[in-house]
Amino acid sequence: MNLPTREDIVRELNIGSLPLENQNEIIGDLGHFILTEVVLATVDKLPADVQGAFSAFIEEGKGPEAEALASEHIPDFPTFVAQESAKALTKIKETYAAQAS
Amino acid sequence: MPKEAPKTGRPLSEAEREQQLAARGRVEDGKVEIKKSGEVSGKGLDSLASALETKKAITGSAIETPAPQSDEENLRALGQKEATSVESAQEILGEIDAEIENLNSLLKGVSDPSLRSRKSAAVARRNVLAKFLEKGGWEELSISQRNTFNTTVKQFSETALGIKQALTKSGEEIINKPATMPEKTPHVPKAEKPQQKEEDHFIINNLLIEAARVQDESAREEIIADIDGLRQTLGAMADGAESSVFKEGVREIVEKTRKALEAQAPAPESMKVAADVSEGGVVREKIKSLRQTLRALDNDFANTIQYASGFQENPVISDSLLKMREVGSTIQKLINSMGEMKDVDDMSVTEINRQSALFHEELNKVYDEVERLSAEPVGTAEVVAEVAPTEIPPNPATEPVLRATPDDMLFDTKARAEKLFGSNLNAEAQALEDFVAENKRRRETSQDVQTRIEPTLVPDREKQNTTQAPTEVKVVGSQEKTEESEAFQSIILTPLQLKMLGMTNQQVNEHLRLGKEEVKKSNPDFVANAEGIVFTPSNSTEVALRPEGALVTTPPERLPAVQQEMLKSLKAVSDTLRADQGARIVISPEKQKLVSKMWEKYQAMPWWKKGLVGGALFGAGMTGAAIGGTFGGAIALTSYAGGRALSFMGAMTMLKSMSSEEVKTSKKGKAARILLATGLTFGVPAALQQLSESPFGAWVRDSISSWWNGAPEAVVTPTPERLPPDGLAETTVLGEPTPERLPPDGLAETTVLGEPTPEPTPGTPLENTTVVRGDTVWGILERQLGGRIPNFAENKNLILDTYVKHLRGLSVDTLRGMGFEGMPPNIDKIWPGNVLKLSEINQEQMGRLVEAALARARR
Repeated sequence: MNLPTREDIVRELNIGSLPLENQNEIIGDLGHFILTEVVLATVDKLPADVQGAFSAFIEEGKGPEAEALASEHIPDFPTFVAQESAKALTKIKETYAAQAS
Repeated sequence: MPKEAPKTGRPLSEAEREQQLAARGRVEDGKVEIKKSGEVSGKGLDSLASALETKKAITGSAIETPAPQSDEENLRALGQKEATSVESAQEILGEIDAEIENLNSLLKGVSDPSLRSRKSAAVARRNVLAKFLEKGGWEELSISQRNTFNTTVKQFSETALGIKQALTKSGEEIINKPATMPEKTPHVPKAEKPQQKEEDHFIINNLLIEAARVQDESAREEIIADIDGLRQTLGAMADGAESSVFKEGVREIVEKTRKALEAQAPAPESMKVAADVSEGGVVREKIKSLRQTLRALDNDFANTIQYASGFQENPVISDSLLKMREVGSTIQKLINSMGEMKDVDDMSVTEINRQSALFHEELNKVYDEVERLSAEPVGTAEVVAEVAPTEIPPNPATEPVLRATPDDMLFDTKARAEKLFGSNLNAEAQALEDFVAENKRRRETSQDVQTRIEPTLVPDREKQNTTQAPTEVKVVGSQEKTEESEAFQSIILTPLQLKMLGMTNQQVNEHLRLGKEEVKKSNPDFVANAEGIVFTPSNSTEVALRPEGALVTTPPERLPAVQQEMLKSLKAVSDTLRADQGARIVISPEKQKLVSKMWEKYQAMPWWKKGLVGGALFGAGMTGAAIGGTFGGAIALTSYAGGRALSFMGAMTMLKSMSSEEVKTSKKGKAARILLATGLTFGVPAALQQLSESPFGAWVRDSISSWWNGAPEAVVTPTPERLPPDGLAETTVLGEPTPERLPPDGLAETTVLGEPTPEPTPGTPLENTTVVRGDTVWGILERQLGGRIPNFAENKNLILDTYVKHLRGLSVDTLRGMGFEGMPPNIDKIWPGNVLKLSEINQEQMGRLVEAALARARR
């Protein structure tokens, strides 16, 4: 069984040939995109009357409150986050593939 | 210049001397020019005697003939010698000088350019050795230099041996100077008759050796048959019998051999070995022999580069070096072309030897020029220019003449590659050359080229702190050159890049090793700092592997083209996606505000938060057996470039298999797993970090911590009041944080600075320390950390061990910057007076590392 390390992952992503700092730069950029996608999807999923509160919690850095609010209004919120993350990832891949072609 | 040859040979007896004088007289009568035996070194007498023996086959003289092997044995013995002190090195050099004198004598009048070329190579090696000793005592030489010295001695020995063997085999005078044969058989004293027979057998052996050079099989067999007959005649002769029949037989065989050799294409010297070996027509043996020739050239080339170090800007030298390299290329191509042949192409062989001679001509030019330059009075010795370590775009209009032009760097790169590959023009070296050429092209075409001054190439850390970097400028004679900041313009090849260029791991490692050694010997004050190899203009090579966590981002223009494209493409993906996000939310001011806020926070993140913390997380905790389950299989299915989807669920499965039941069932644990799986699947540990760092991600921060530590109950979850709005208080504060000690936003280093604190907190930087007698890094850290970390005493060893491990993992440059000395800097060796800048330890990072270590210990 493989025991992937960070290096394994970078290799699988095919960015291992880049210097470490450049890998991190790219990883960081794309990571931000995923985060934003998840947040935006969460806002959309929430009822209109609580969206403002959720956004406010986030802007104020009140994570637990934001989590509680989202969990209250979105069934199986962790799964939702996972799905949205996967969607964001797919977008990245599609965009990259489109560029490559 | 070679020293006078020591007289190391045995003294001649009176009878021997008389014999020699008699023989000399006969030779002079025969108008054969032979150096007087008294003028050659005693050590070289054997060789000279061998040559004279060849003549004796013609003259029939009866000179006492030392065994021809003895001289070869001496040379072999010389090759086995290894200098261990300056005295032994000088002694070896003396012997080599004697051998050179000997070679000069033997080759006098010999017209074979190949032999003379080989002698030049031997002299060149001798000069390399002398150069080492000029630099100072043996103790001042690096290990690498000492090894090079002893290797060069071996090489000299082999070269000299080859020359002598070739001389012995060729019987130059036999073949080329039959006209000088005396008309009459010289008078041989009767007393010498018993010795005569032995000498005649020796002549027969020489005839056989010569016959072996005849390529025409039937002619060769015929000659050998004649020799065999002559041998039988010799055996049948009674001791003391007149040997006129024998001598006539020798004369005939010599003539026959000469004609046979003349009829065939001239076999250049370097081919002789191949020809000898390939009697059975084995092509590969011939090619192997030629490759050996090429390797010898490679060695010469490397030595020449070393010898000419510091003078490569000289047009004569650089021109010669380039020509030498071209010769290597030509020879390599010729040899490669032979691989497909059924037999070695004589024309190619001839060309190879012509090229070889050309090579040594250029080699001699280099040595002559270096000697000339070295003899010239030095202008102003050394000038040290100070330049700022910041990136300064050069002004092409005013750009000074560089001591190291890109061509020089190319050359240096190439030479180094040659050392590695054992041949100076193979594909790998070509790839390196292409890379450098590309660099050069970009430099020439771009007005915005960044001149990267390696700030860590600074001998004195203090200078770096004052943004000064020294540039060594050597002014030689009237060739004054002014160099400025560009002197440190360098090409950095990471090990990975080197691998991409075709090097094997072993080659890369060897490259690193060579580079490190060269740094030491060329300028011990310089610090190896960068990832990979830095080819500096001054021929020094800075090498060090930069550990994860390095701060410097390689400018895209420094990356090989393929990497530049990759980087560009990935950045474009990011830009496109962000633009898409912007378009989707443009109708919603609220979302715009939200995204904008998130982006602001992201942009404000230090570099390590963006990319490396996640990496550290993996590096610290998720390596080895910690990761198992199906993740390996899941990740194996992923391919970023291929556009296939990563297996998110695979990662999730793995995470579930890893986590405890409590965590599995808790909402926070699930969230943490999902987010971590995102990071894993995404290959983006940083994403996890950003999620936890961002406002939105704050809600999972403690979840992650709980999950990660595997002991949720053990982790203090701060109340909202105590929780910093944007920080990682629980991961940066060791043990139980107190409101008073907790930095305002959890990021001690960014928030505590400037605010007077009554007492040190875990996040505040450590104090710089001057080492006193008896200090150890462990002890210093213990003193400093003891007062600032709660519950330090209970976890002292673990905490200190974490710090020490962290220090050990820092880059050479960073350690050097912190005041650790040594090459590489060694935290275990500190000296009184050293100022250790412990304030440069990232306390925030250390907090997380220690926290993780404590958590592991708790598990």
